[in-house]
Amino acid sequence: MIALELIESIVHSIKSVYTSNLGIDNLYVANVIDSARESTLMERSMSGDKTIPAQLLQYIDIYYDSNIQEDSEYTVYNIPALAQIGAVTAPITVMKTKGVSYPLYTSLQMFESMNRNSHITGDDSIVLVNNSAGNQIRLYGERRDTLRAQAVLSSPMKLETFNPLFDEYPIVASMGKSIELNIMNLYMKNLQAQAPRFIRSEGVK
Amino acid sequence: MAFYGTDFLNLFNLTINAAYSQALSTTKQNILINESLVLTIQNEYRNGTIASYSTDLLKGLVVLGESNSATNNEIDLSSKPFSHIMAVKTVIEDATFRATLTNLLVENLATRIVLSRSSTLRSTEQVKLTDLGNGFDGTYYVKQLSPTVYELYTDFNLTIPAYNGASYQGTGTVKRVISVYAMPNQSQEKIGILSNPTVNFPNYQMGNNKLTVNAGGSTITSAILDYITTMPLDIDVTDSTDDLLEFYPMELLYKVNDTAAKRFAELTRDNVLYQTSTAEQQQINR
Repeated sequence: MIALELIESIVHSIKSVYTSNLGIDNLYVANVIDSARESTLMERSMSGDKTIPAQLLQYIDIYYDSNIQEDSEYTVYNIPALAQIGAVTAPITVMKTKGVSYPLYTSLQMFESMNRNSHITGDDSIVLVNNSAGNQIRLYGERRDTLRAQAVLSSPMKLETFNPLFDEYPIVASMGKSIELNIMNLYMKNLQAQAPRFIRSEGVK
Repeated sequence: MAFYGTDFLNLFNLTINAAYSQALSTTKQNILINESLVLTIQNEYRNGTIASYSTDLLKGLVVLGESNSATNNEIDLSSKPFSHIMAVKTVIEDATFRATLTNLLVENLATRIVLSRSSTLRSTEQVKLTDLGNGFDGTYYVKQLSPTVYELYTDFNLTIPAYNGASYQGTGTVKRVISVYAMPNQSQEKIGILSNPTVNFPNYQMGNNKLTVNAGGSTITSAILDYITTMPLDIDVTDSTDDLLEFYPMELLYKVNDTAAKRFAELTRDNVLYQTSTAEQQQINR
C-alpha cells in the first residue's frame, strides 16, 4: 500500500474510534508510523517469523563523501539507521560485484578477530559502526564511489529517496493492523496525558 | 419574487413551531441565522462536489483555487474579502532534494535531465530548472525513466514534451517542486516533535492577517486557497427592503433555515425538533 494511503486509512480508523480528534492527522501518523512499524517488526520476529520478505527491504544508494573520512585504512559511508529485528544480525546487504555481497560485521571486535584469518575471510569487508556522527559503515578494502544496498530500515519515511505520496510503505500485509494498533495506543496515551487528573488533596485538575 | 429578512423570520417561525416564536429576541435571532448561514456554506463546501460549487448555490460566497504567491512562507490576507479558510494547497520547493543536474539530453523532440543521484522525484511531479543558459529555464512536469533520468513535459498528463532544441551548456540547477495540502497547526502541537511538519506533510497557521505555512525548512512559493468570503449581506429579520435573493439562492436560504432550526433545537434542548430538522437537512442534501 502506498504510504500516504496507509497513513490516511490509519487516521480515518482512529478518528472513527475516538470522539476527540485533537492532534490526530496525517502529519502525526506520518511522524510516528516508522516507530510503530519497528515495534511490529520486533513483535513479528519474536512470535516466530524470522523471514525478511522483499516487501520489507528498501533500496539504498550509498555515496562516498570525502568530508567524513577519518583514516586511510578504511572508507567511511553514512547509511540510514537499520531496523532492529530479533535474531537477525544486521538486516542489510551491501553489494560488492554482480551477485556477490560484502561480508558484514556488526562489531569491530568481530571484524578484527576474523581478519586475523584473512586467508579465509578475504580482504574486503564492511563493519557497522554507530558513533556520534550517526549510522556509518566502514569499508575495509578498495574505495568505491557508490555502494548499493538493500536493508530493513528503522525509518523508511526518512530515507532520502522515499516519496510517501508515490512509494509503497515497506511492510507485509499482515503488519498493517498491528501498526494501526500501536499508533492508536500511542494516541490514547496522549489523550490520557491531557485528561484531567484527580489528586486527593486538590481535587480534579 | 423577492424574499426579505422578515420573510425569512416567518419561514423560521413556521419551522420551529409557533409556540417557540417568542423564545429569542430579534438580536438573538439575527445572530443565530447569520451563524447558520456560515455553517451551511461550510457544510455545503465540505459535502459537495467540485462541480456543485460552480453552480448557483455558493456562487460569490466561496472562493476556490485562488493562487497566492508567498513571501517568506507567508501569504498576506489583509486585502482579501476573507471570512473563513477551508483548504490550503501549497506549492513547495523541496529543500531536502540533494540531487544536482549533471546533463541535459536533447533528442527526438524530447528533453531529458540526468541527475547526480537517485531522489524522491516521481512521475507527474515538477522540477524547476534555472541558470541553464540556453533559454530553457522553467518549471516542467517529469516522467521518470530510471532512478536518475527524467523526461520533461509541459502538462500534468505527460502528453506534450518540453522541447526547444537547445543543448546543455554545462550549467544549471534543478529543484523539486511539489504541491500538497497543508493541515492546520494546532497551538498545543507546535512544541511537540511528533507534530513537526515535513515537506510532504506541511501545516499552516493564521494570525496578524497572514497565513504562514511551514514545511520543515522547505520554501513555500505559493499556495492555492479555498475560502469563504465575507457575507455580502447580513440577514436582518426586521428588514423588508433588501432582497436576500440578490445574494443568496432560495435553495441555500432553505438550507440555512434548517440549520438555524437545528441550532435552535440545541439551544432549547428540544429533541423532537432537533431530529426533525436534522432529517430535513439530510433530505434536502440528497
